[in-house]
Amino acid sequence: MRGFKLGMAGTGGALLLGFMVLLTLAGLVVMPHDPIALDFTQRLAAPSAAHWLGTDQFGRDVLSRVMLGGRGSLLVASLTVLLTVAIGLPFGALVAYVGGWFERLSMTVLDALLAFPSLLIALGIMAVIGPSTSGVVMALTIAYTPGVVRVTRSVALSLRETGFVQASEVLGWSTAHVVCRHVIPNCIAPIAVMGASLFAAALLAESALSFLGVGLPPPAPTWGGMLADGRPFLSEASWLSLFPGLAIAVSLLGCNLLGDALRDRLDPRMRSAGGST
Amino acid sequence: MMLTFILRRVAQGLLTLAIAGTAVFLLIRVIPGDPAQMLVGDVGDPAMVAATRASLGLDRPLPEQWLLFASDLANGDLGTSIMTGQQVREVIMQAFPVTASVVLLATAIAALIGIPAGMWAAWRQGRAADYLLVGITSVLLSVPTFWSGLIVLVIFSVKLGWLPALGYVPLGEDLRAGLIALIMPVGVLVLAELATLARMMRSSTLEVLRLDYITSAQARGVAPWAVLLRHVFRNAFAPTMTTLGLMLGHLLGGVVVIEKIFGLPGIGRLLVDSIVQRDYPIVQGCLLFVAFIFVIVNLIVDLLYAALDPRVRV
Repeated sequence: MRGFKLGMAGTGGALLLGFMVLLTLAGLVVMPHDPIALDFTQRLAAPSAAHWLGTDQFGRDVLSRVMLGGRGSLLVASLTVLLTVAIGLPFGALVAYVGGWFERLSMTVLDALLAFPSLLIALGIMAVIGPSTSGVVMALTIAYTPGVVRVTRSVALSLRETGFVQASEVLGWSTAHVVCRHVIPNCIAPIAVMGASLFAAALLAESALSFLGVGLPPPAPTWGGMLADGRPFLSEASWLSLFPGLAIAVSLLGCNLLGDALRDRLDPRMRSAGGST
Repeated sequence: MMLTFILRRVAQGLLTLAIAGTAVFLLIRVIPGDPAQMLVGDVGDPAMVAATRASLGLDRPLPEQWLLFASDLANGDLGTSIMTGQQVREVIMQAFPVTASVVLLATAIAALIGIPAGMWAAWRQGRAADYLLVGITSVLLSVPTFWSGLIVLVIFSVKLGWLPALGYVPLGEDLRAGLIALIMPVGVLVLAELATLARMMRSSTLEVLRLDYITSAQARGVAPWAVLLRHVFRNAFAPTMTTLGLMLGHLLGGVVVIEKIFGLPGIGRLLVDSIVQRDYPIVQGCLLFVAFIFVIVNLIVDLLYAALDPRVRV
């Protein structure tokens, strides 16, 4: 790949996201306080030197809980992106390549699935399987895969017309070989761009599900769940909701900036149009 | 030609609905997890679970269930609520106007601000105004509505006491109180949607600005506002309109959280409450209804697009 410069916004994005990931990873090694242990002498303490981000209604340190909460949120988002791409990329390439009635049928069904707001699909699925980590990942994967298939298909369709793909067909390579060697690798750049926005979408959706109480099950804190738990104490202890929300917003901002920069880098068409959507 | 186009789009919409309906049908029945078991709870004995399953009609063979489901749906019958015994259709019809007023109002305001802002930024590409818009929208796009909602709530109703924290007043009942209750939820949604629209409009305006006819108009000495208004807007707006249509549909999902925060009795809150109460007929009805609205909105957008841009009518 050519020299890789992300520009100021992209670098800023990578730093923001990197900071949140590091904060979460640091929590695996050391945390300022025990994020689960109750301490009623410290109920709803405002941010101070001892508790940088204050404590919650059970006297638990908010910073430690934000660090712990990131684990679930970032893990769910990463797994969702991996699974969606692992399913959507080969399937989209296949659909474009096989064509005919298979393509028409698949696209009709996928378009129909895209008729549901993704959060609603996820909510509907959570309704049936009940709150669980694997459930959230499954729900979000089902919600986002149709979109990935769509993008991959359109990229693969245009690739099918290119010289090098047609050349390898003429050389007598099997369809499977052409798809794996030429089509899929060339879909990776646009999918990487999509992956960044998928990560943001999955993180946001997981937080929304947890906020609504149908996401990751307690007792493990998630950013969305902490936000919801802080609601009754909004007037006396606004930091309870403020900081987990800030964690989500900083991660999303990092992700979006990074995604925009990637798009400007990897998608020459977008670059000539002068920027991102 | 327009008529064939309309007929084909309507047929497509019906097909989409049929598939979406089947997807919802399968969702409740095929995905691992048992609604009857969830309804009875972990303590329920097997006989009770079986009885619940029979009362939901889940013990019959799938094709038979599907036929029943499809014929009920064709008659507009969405079933009855497990909890209250009310007609699902009536429950939804009560909730929908609330959601619709929030979503439509927010979209209209977001479009009125976002579209001119996006065009302006594109016109000033690479200058301060452009960077400002891209910067502000990046931040707005990254703020979850459930967080900005809570912050707005803390500032305007807890700290300042200017606006009521909860409570919905139907617009038809008391226009003034109704509008006041909508200020915060609509405002939060506007911030989120504004960013999407402004960015979409910016990038499609940039595409159009590069075209020859714009250069020629400028060379002829047409004033900038006239170039933007008469020449750019029409062509740049068409893709944004598609976004607007998709956004309206997806807002029906995003509004769930807003309704929950501000205590609005809309479709979103109905859906979440029904999920928590395991009221499957309502969950199913809400999902179907949202898909229906989404298809209708996109049908209208597609037809408007064709009216605006004859090139797509093929």
